[in-house]
Amino acid sequence: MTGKGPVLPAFARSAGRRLFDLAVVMLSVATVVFVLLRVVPGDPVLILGGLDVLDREVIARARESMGLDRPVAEQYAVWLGNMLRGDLGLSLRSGIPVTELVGRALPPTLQLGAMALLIGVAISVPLGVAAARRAGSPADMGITTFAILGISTPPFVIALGLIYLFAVHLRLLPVAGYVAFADDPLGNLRTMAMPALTLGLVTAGVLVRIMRRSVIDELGEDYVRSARAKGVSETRVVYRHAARNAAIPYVTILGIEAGVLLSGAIITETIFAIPGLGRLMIDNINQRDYPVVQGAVLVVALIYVLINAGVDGLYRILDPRVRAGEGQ
Amino acid sequence: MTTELATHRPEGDRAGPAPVLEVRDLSVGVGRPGRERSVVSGVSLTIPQGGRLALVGESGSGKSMTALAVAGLLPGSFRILSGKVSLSGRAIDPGGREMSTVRGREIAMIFQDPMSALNPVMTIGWQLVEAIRAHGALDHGAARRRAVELLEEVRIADAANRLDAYPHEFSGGMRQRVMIAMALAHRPRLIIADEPTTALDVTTQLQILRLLDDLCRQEGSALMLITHDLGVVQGTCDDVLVLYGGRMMEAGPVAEVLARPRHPYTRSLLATIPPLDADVEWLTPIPGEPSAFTSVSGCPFATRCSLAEDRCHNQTPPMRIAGAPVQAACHMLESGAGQIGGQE
Amino acid sequence: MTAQTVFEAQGLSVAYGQSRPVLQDVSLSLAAGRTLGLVGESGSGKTTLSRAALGLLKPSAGCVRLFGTDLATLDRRGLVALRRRVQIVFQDPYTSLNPTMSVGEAIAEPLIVNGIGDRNARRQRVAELMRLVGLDPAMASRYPTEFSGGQRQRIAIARALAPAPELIICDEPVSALDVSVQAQILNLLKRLQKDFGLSLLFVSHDLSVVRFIAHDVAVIQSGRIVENGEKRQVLDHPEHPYTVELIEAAKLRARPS
Repeated sequence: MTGKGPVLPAFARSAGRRLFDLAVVMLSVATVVFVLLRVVPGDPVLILGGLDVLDREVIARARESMGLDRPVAEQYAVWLGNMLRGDLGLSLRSGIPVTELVGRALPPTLQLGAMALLIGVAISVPLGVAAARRAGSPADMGITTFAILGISTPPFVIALGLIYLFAVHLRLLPVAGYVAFADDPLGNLRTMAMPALTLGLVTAGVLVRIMRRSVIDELGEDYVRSARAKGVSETRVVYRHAARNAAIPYVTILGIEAGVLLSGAIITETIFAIPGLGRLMIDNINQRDYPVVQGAVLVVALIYVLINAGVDGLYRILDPRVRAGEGQ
Repeated sequence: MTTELATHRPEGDRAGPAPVLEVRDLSVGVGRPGRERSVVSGVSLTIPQGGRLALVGESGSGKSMTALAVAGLLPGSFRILSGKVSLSGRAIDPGGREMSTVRGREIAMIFQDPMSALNPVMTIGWQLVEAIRAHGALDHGAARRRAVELLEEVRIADAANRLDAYPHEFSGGMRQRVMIAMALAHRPRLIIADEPTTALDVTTQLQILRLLDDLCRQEGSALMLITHDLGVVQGTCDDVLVLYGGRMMEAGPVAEVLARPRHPYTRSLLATIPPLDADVEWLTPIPGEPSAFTSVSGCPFATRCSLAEDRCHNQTPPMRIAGAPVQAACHMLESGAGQIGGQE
Repeated sequence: MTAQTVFEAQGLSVAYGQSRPVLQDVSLSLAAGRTLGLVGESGSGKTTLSRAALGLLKPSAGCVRLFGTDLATLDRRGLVALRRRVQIVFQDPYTSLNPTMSVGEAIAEPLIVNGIGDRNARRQRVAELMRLVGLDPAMASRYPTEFSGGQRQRIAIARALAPAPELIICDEPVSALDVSVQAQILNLLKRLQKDFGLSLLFVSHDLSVVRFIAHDVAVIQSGRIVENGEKRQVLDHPEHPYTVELIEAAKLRARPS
């Protein structure tokens, strides 16, 4: 479609399409998780009861109460129907509604992810730009080495290093544990500082590399030469022109990294004993607590999808050409 | 080097005001310090106030590098190896920090591809205002009003409403008009236009060249036009400097050089262009292709020249008068100008 | 006029989506052994017309005939068989050659695709083609990056010649080349056209280039053919104001007289 065209309908159309995409992704994820959990060997009843449950009668009754004796297709239909009403079922182990378990685990994970992302961005933007401006210099090599270390060091090694430094050596922060922000804001930040820094450093490594590469690329573009030809100061050339355009590829990787953080959170939450989504999933996979794992994975998938929508929104803000191409 | 005045207008005598631009023996190299390969070697040129000089050459001729060196805009691995540059009689260091006060104010540039030369994520108005506010003390509102005036000067209709458009919403010709408007923002004494019409449609090329021509005259700006196209030179410029392989081949008034080219390269180049108003069976090509680097010694054109002798490969011919007011760098010119070049 | 018609468009219209048609009611023909220069600016539809001649797109009205056959009547097999007889040379010799394929492989590819000859015969044919376009056959094992722009365009021409086509579409084949190299390629194309009795559809924005290479000239503006005829007629006695404007603009770039 050429020309300006009606802006609002085009936007509404794309928003509608995005909602539809979201529904399709969620349904696919739900189905895959459902199938996977039932393909993986291991029986929840045996795990819950322990190995001494050998009485067939008992086992059969337990299965019946959990609905596990029905055909898989029926289990699927029931679960899907409940899910659409916002009912994710009850934990097989504790009988607590899954929505409640997930709801409790969500805030620490979101807080951890947000803090880690913030640290990642705060480190990567200035370092990436600084490295790009002095590409090939010792400063650039130092920054690049830091970035590669961040990428290649496993998160648990970083975590242990931080624990040794801040908790054991300096005795500034607690080794592990979690306090809700509402209960004790300062205590919350003290417990979250190291896990967030762990994930933030890992994220920063990737983001520094991307920012550096993108700014170097943009600095070679013709419009940068035009800006210099106008007599614009070099700092302005770098930040208002090159870095502003480099933000477009950077945001793409930022979106992917935000997703990677969620999986990184599993290890980090385990090390630092944070009762987040990662821990919830690990614990209940071991217990074959189907409803809880399904619910947790579904929420994680929803977060992924929302991050992607957020990245698309950022593109619209950053790049006028994307706004122009909306109606097509 | 006996490269005295490379180009001069017949009336431009030494007694008059200092030339807008004077370049002496400029050399530009690329690569690590100490191991540079030369891309421009011994180029000298002079542009008087309000003068128009064309730098003509093919790829690897060093024409763009000469211009970028003067403006201090050489890409990363390129640098000036030697040479002097003066603006209006004042020596400048093109690589120095003070160049940001010169660029945009005294020297303005227009580039080849108006799509990539504009920042794609900023509005036309933002980029114009930036150019205006880079020098001088206009506030934002005044700068926007000045931006509208500039757009009107380059004949963009409905200028006030076009300020908030993005580059991709403009056609190629309109974007080049915006680039010209930016270049004019501070009424520079010299405008360097690097292939300003090459990326445009033929009918648009003509409009843009005329616009550039009109505005330079109106503002009294001197023009340095860089082009691969000898045709573009006529009607736009007073003088022409033909470059090949980073060295000067021929320099002089446009009419004279185009009508009676002295250098074998200029002659062959003119002969390769198919005529528009006559039918020819075959063209007269130059064998081989231009190289990206300057020869260490000898004439860079020697490998492709039908007249080349041994000394052409070994000794670099200096620029010398080849039938005033034209100068050319060719050993063959010693034995009497006008006898070189075969019949077509 | 008994010569066979190689390419013919009749009342051809092409539209993408709901936007303004890219081609509108275009009628044009190219006789065997002749060169038709198609002149227009960007967005005029000249590239679309050259794609139509390759049978690569569906007309929204009218028809395209290649060697007398209406493309709409052909199935996939028929189209593929026909395509051997039509080859193309693109504008940018830097992007039109696959950088990971040696020059010999690139030239042999149309032979392999069309199942022409065995390995040995193909190798001989590649050497013959390279000599034909002025390249040393010993360079067949080298890669495109080792060649200059003009040499690459020679490679692209050799590749186009490989399956012995009757029609070659040249899409701005010299506009990315240096002035001193253009003439070499133009002479080469003209000589090949004469020697092999080829038909060329030569797309260009440059009137003096078209005057040199073409027998006939068609001027296209906004998807319509505004003027069409023998080149001297069109260029020396233009009737349409747009042709006049193009000639005026071209004078600027032409050989100074």
